[in-house]
Amino acid sequence: MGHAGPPRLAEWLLRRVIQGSPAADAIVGDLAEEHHAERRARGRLGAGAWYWREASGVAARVLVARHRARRPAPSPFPIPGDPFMSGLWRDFRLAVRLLAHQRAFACIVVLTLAVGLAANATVLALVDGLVLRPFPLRDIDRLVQVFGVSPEPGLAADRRDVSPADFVDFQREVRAADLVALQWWDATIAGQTEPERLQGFKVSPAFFQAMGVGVAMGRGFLGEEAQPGRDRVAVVSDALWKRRFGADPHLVGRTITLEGEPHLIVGIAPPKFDYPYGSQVWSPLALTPDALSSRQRRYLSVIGRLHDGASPAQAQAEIAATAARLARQFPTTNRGWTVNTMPLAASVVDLGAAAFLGVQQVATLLVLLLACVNVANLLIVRAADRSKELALRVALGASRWRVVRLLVLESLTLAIAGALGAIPLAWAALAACRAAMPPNIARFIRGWEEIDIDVRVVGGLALLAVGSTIVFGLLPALRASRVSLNDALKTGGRTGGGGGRHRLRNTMVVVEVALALTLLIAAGLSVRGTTTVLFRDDGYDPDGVMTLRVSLLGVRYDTPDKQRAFFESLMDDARGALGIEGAVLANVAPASTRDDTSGVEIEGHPVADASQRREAARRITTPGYFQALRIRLLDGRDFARGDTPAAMPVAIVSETMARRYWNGENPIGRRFRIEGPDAAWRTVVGVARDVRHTWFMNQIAPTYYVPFAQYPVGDMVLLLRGPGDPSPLAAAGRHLVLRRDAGQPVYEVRSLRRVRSDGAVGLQFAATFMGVFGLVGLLLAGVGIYAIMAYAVRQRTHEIGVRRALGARPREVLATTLGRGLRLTAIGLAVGLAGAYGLGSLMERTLFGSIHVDALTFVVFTAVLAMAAIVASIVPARRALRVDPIIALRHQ
Amino acid sequence: MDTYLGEFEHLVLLAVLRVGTDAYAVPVRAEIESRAGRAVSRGALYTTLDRLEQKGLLRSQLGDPLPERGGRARRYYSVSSRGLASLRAARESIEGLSAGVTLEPKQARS
Repeated sequence: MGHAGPPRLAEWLLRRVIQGSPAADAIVGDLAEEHHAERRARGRLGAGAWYWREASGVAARVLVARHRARRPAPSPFPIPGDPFMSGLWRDFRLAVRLLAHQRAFACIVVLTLAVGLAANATVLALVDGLVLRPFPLRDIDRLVQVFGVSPEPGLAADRRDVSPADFVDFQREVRAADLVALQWWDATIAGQTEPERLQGFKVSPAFFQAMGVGVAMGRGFLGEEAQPGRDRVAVVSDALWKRRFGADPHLVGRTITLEGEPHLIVGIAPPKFDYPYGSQVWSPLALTPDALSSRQRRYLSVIGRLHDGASPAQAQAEIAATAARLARQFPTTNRGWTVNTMPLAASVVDLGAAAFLGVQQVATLLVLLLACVNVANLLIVRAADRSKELALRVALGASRWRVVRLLVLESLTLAIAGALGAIPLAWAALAACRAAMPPNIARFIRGWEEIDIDVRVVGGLALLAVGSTIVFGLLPALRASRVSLNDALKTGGRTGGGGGRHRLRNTMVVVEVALALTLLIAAGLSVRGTTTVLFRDDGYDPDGVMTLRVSLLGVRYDTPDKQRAFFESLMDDARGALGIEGAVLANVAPASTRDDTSGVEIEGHPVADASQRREAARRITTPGYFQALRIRLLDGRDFARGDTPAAMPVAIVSETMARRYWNGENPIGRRFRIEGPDAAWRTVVGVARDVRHTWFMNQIAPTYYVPFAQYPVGDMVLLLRGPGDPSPLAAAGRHLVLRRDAGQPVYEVRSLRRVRSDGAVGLQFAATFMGVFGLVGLLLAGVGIYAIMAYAVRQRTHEIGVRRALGARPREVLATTLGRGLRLTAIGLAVGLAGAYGLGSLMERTLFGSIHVDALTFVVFTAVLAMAAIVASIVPARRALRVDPIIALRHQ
Repeated sequence: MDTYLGEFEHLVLLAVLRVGTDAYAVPVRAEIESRAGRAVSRGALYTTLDRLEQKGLLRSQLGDPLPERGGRARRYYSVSSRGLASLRAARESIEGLSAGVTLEPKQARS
């Protein structure tokens, strides 16, 4: 048993409070003695609680008594009401009045704070919505997502899907969790009104139970519905039910047409449930025997609900054990593949989002810091100006506490005004964010819809405001309250602080310049990186092209021949249409978020084992594709109408593919084979320039092109090139499709330029944010430097007057005045360059290499900031020179 | 000149007298609580003791340090002659005022 005395902290606090009272020691001793007795009666804990209560009671009483004793005799004309509060109220009104007198000062401070806080509130709202609570699911901590981990390094290599056969094995052998699988399903709904493309998912029957939501109406899926042929049932989302079916209470039991097949609606999902990716309709995942034997194709997302008492680590261990067994048993497909089990809440957070928001947070914190430094600066300068006023207040009987209270109240008033100003600013910024995010992207960002300034954000804002008030209000207040009456009145505000204050102010200038430079360079790097991504030559010309996606319905186009017939007639119509210069089809448009890759086998270059399997991006196109997109053909020919199914199978390869898979030899005339059902050897007839598909791919993937006629699929993108602005082509394209088939939905209608811009939307966000932050930083730094230099010059007006009177030339006076400011600026710039390099490297790492730390940006923005600093220093210095020496000498 | 006594001050002075030589805060408080039948907060007692000493109605002296008090001494109080005078004056004024006054039936019965 260790300490038997009273709680040490309580005793220490009590001693602190009552020290100075003559009986202090005796009081502490009495309480210790009584605690000793209480301990026997109540035990250790009871006595401890007793001690805390009594000690705080005594301390409060002593404090009150001391306060009363110190107060002067009560006035014969007492102020009605509580004297403490009315004093506070009086001080508050005084603070407001004083601030109103210096409107420019107050405005600058409030604006500075509002901008700093608004930036933080906005990013806080984004973090809150996207990272902290990405989406509303009960017991989300019991849900895990299981990813395959590819042995080949690459983007998201540890977040791959799972093959059906692997899934079935996992499901059978894992005891710690119930596993369900999901498969992406683009479902076209037809009937009554116009056909529409829905986001759907094929899911294991237990999906709704596993997610912990169940259905709001009807039922979920039955186990036997996971068989081909019995799977024509569907659950629709609450949103779809309300929008398309007018919340029809009898919808359950009705039949709708999905993908050209009748589906019985068996249930309606609970409101707001749209997992995953804004899903609108779910249907059972019925794996065919063929699919069930496949370990090669990995296309299932796997989610697990942990059993009671099971931990994610346990689930991971079990699944990993199975995966290891499968890797040994099926080396051709599974060698090197492992699994990665992570909490669903963490897995739904966008891969890049956390890092991306991290960078934003660093930047906003810098902005807030800059704002605070600036405000502290202004307040210090102001407090120094007011040393006389404060000394007078003290001389007239104000206690130090009263002076500090007045100063803190002033800061608090400013902080509140700043916070109030920040709310509309942050709200507007979020509204701008929401408006700028295209809906087709937003639905993939978990929690995007939910982002708003809510109680938590407002709370965070309030905390920030109070926190920064303490930082920037108390420091100058304490300094100012220590002013010696004698000094302040005597020297007329010329010194009033001494070296300490100069050092503090100098530090402030350095810090401000450093922060601003860091922000500016980060902004410059972001903007440059983004502009590069958006406007660099990625191997094709994105201007003047409209894209429309057409996915053919199941039954009417269930054979490749029917699909080919439809698309070929569409091409025939398009070629004659007015205003269309080029009409081509492709399975994937450049820069879109979709991609299509396959394994390839190069004739004469066999690979030793599966891990060296060759992959390439697959592009299925019609003749004229290269011309329509202005992709240069480096060698050979384009596809022609003669490349029919009956003719020799042909292909065109990209230069990277040629270089990598044929070791740089001329590939024309050589042959390769696409893995999968179409096993024909294809002869290379052309080499095309590389096309960079997505901006974040550092390396350009090997790509091959095959003619649509020889390799028909049902899901194609129609690309139309017109003579100029592509927007009229949207209606023309829609018209072309509907004329062939009025029941065929056309969707994802966007210009190619827009596709590219949508693909880099996160990057543009980052750049816009950083750009705004950079400008704010520049502005704040300018204001701050100006304020400090103006103050320093005013302090030295007398000295300048003396020097002028003694014959110093204006140039010399200017040089010494400027010199000091510039020296500080130079130090700040040096520190800032280091900070900028750090932040720049961080961005380089987190933003997929779109940003490069380049010297030019550093030089340019350092120069910009140096210029701003020079201007901010020159203006007050020149003003000092204009003052007549006589007046300057008289200056107090 | 007699100093006017507040009610609680009056009780504290009387309690110090009753406890006698051993009068430090803990038994004084216990005395008031048991005799006057009212709860006394420690803080109020300490500030009142302090005030009475400042007014010169109480004197205090330190005893020996004690281990159960963490090596701190007790502060023993005794009523000064001014304190006794104030108590006398208070008693006289109360007796003078209550003489011949019939109070509650409770007192009549006893």
